[in-house]
Amino acid sequence: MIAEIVQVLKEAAKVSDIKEIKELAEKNQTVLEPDLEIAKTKTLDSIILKNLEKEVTQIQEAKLPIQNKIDGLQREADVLDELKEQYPEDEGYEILSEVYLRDSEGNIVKDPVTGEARRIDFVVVKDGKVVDSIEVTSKTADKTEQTAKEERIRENGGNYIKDSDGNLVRIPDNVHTRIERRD
Amino acid sequence: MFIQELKGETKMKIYDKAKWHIDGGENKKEVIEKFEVIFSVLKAKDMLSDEGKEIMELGIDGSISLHERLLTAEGNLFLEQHYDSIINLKSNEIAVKLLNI
Repeated sequence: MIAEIVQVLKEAAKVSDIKEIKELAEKNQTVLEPDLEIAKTKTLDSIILKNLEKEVTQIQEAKLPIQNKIDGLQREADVLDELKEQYPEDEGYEILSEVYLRDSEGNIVKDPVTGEARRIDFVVVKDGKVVDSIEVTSKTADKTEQTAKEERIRENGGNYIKDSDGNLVRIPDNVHTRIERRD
Repeated sequence: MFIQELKGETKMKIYDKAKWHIDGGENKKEVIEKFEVIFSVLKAKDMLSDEGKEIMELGIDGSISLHERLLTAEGNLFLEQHYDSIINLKSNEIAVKLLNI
């Protein structure tokens, strides 16, 4: 496979410039990002090999979608287990999942900046009020934008969720979604 | 594969979430495109519940989660049988495969 990619890239190099190599690599779903400083001082073969090494590393790091699903499910199952212990059903807590931030009319509120809605993984309700809100993610995912988006939606009236009976439940001002990170 | 299968519980079935893939390093645009295709197929097959239709009308974005509340009983059966077999495909392949089932 790598030999085929090298051959393709070399063929491209004969008739074109580095920009075209990049385009061809993208067409073949490879990762080629020529560094112009390197390009000025090194041979074409060394540039190709360097990029191929980078490509192989990135392919090794990338997971198949099914694995990302399995990892995501496992993280959320683990957190749900912990929430059930922390918030027992027999003490009146209800754990809701996949809820959207809504306004007092029940409409899903969109972020004025991104135009996106905010879905929360788990929300805990007791006595008609939200007492906890949790987003589950990996150890490394950057959630800065998500947090900022939620704040903007809250400022724009998105302070309610729907419970399992379809009733609107208010999220108190002091409850903000916390991020639970898992491997 | 669902949460309850991992833990032996009877909780809501979640088929997939865009963020699992985006956070896992997949291309955000391609991930959203896949969900757009899947929702379009489900809509064409009349397998979306009222909540599913509401979410689709809202627009598919990086916060989308595909779960049992969004589907009719038939839709849930359909995804239980077929979802994991199309998850690794590209969006155009997903459309062809799901529409031919």
